[in-house]
Amino acid sequence: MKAPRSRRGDTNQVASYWAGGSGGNPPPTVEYLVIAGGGSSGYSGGGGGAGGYRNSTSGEATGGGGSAESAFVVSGGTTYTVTIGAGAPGYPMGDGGNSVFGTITSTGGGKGGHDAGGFVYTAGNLGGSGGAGASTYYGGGGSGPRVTNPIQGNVGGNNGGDGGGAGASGSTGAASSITGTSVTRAVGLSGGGSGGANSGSGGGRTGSWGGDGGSGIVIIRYLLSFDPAVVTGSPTLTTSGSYRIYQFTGSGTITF
Amino acid sequence: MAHFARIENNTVVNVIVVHNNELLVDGVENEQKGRDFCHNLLGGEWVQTSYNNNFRKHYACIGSTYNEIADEFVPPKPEGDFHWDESALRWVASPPVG
Repeated sequence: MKAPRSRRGDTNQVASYWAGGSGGNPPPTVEYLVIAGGGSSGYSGGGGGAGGYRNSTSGEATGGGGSAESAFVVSGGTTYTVTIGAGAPGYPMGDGGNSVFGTITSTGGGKGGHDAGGFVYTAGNLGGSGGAGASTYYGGGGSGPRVTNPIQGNVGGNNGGDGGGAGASGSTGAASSITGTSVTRAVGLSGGGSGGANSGSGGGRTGSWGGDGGSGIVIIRYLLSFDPAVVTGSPTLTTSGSYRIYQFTGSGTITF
Repeated sequence: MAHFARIENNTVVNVIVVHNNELLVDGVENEQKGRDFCHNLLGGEWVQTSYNNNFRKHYACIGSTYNEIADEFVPPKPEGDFHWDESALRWVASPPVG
């Protein structure tokens, strides 16, 4: 007897109704966008780096401007963990949290460098995108590097500049239409701004305690011709064109 | 959205975002349900934290200390010349000397 599936895939808020795979017709591959939490800016220093931006959406770029990654190969009936990394708060400063989908990990954005007192300025931290350095006036405080395996963002700026973003260069964000609508995320903000929820953007530089990093997001899509997935974590399910799209703004699981 | 901090040896090692729906028991948010959700997802011990500092004194970020007796988080000291202000209950930059 087949397990009950009457409510799967027919509401926007999907809960865990059934433990098991998607039945007889799981997708062989899925496309994903996995964005980590943004780093905070540094105290009187540089902007925070955006969260790592890993994108396999066909025809789009991944973080740092490279070609999209390969689609994720699915094993039907296997449950994959989805983790949404938190953004780092401007006080007391820090790196963003990692976001994860199965074996795909995006690294949190690096904290911006800060004024440590006594004419000491720290460098931006390593991250999916690096934090900006606080100042190089006294010979310290360089830009924060980016993770390179794989590249998923950009290095941070310098001299109290903006943190790295996920676009082709610098602090710009990256746009994706994985949901059917183009949205730019993972920006290295400036001017004291805070990254919004699920943006993955880095906190903007300020003259004091700084901007907060935005939390991450995970979006997964595949063709409607395959069965709906079984999920936990209350992702939003939508359709666009020929795609079924799950947006996780909180952590959970997905079983195809 | 709710935030949960993973605690190891009284230190915060990870903070994740959880949908509020996962905390609901009869329509009311229940922290223990959220803790169980995180444990079942990733293992380990989890404690809820407030991004707006509405409970447990401070938002837990990676490197924060969790004082289990007082049931509150203490933020990590920033690198450099900062001191703890008891009246403000936060780290502040030390004034320049001289």
